[in-house]
Amino acid sequence: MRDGFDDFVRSRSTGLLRVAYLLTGDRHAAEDLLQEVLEQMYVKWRRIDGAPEAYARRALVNRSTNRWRKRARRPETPLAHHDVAVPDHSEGIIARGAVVEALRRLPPRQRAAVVLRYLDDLPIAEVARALDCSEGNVKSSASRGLERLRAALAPATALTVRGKR
Amino acid sequence: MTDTDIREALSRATGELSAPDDLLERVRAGGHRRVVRRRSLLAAGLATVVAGSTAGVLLRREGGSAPLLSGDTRGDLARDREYLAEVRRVWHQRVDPVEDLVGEPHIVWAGTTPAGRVAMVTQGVQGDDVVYGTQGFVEPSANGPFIDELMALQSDTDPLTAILVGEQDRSVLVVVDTGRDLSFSPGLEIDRDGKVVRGFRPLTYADGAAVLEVGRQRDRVRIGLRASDGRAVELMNFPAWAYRDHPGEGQPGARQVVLAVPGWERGWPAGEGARRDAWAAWGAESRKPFYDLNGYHRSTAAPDWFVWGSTPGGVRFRLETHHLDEEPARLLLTTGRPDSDGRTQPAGTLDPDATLPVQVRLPGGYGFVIAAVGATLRYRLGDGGGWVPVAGDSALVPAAVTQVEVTRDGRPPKIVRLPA
Repeated sequence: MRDGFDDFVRSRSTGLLRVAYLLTGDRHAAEDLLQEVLEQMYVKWRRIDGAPEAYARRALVNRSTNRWRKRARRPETPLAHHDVAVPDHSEGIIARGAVVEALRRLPPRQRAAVVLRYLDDLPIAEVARALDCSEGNVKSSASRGLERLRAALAPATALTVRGKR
Repeated sequence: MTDTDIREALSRATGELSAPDDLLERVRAGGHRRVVRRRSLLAAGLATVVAGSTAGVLLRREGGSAPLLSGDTRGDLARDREYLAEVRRVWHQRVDPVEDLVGEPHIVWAGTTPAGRVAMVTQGVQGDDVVYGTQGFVEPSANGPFIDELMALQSDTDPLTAILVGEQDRSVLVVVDTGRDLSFSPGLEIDRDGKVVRGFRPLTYADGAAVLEVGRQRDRVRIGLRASDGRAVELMNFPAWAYRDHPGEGQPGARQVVLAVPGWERGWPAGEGARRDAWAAWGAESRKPFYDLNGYHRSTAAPDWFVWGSTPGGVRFRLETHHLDEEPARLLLTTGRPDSDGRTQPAGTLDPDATLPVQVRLPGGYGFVIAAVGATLRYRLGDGGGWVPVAGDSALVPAAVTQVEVTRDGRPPKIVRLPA
């Protein structure tokens, strides 16, 4: 009925979760978002002929802004609370938070362009398909996003290194 | 930073993440449930799928009464052809290119409000075997009518029928009648015990919608909506517009401070999964009265704090911050034995920039929970006592401790007096 769906989820879900995490900035929101997109794909698997990953990326990007609403109302649970068994692990969480916080300050399209281009290493043409825009727009969004990300991340990285010494 | 540095930073930030083991199982169950539930609606005669057409397709919640993908348009603008044409034009410009849209958009409600003309629109989306939907509100703005967000319409989730309109002040609430009994709350208060108090009254509809002037909500939304079963009712486009006003905010959880106080093992499960479950579930009911579950709040840019641990005798404690918009972060303290339901009480507010942000006295004489991220801590009993070092940047210290010394980044130490 839905040949290949299970293999697709097994082989690609971690990669897609990482994209979702950087788009939403929240582990639980990312898991919810990915599950929602995959459920949607399950329902229309036969219609997604040949390019499920590209569909998934487009859907993640398109839906990621809507995920904010869910998290805004719900009381938080800690990000990967199981990670904190080691007492000094909080530094690692804050370092990850710095990257996510820097991404959060980018406009959504710049954020998506940077994530797809530099986390997923996608060619410009594929990023353009995911964002439903021209390759020129992708270059421009990625370039501006990168510039802002550099500015935001440089001091954070330095602080993290100092904190670990 | 070079491109390679950026790649490494993004990779490092996500390197620990892996998909949950049961994701495929959950996806298959969820996807199957959606298919089956839609089919069951079809079988019950509530909906008919005609491939390539929305004719006769109804998408309704079980027990609901109003069709969302077909039926007569309601509202005082239902026969205003010029406006309806404009609504369709705006819809076609905005719909999601990812979706396989079916047929034509359906305008559920179109009406005049004190903030201008508003319409709720839906359209079918083709799946393999079923049709589901997408929805949005056309709202007025200085630049003409526009649709902010689109949401999926599915038989197993509630449609988003409520919206605050009026760009300048968001002072008009529109709730489209889809057969749900909803209650409205004009505002909230925090009582002496720190609990959220709201009064509700039934929402009444006229010509397909309830339109209420609710006062300025743009800076802070104070209204609330509640379904008949007590559940929250989401607002369309919120918090999207609120975060445009506050671009530094949003995406809660983007930065979190999570501190496991040494000795936590005595009160919490050792296994990762069990601990995660316990963290979420233990004391959850006792925390609910402190949350505004039927309201709408932004998450500030301030980090969320979670500090948890155990007394030597195995009594759990769990501290978390809870934000209501820009208000200072309230600390909620849950304590109790692992086999109890846990008891929650307010524990003051948390200032993340304070020398010692967490200094909370546990009930029952168990001591103080202290924490300051990245700091070196020592404590003493009385002004003349000797300093006792703390391992890590958080600790449960004896109830008789009077002072904590906090040293950070090689700067001179600061002394904090704990409350008597």
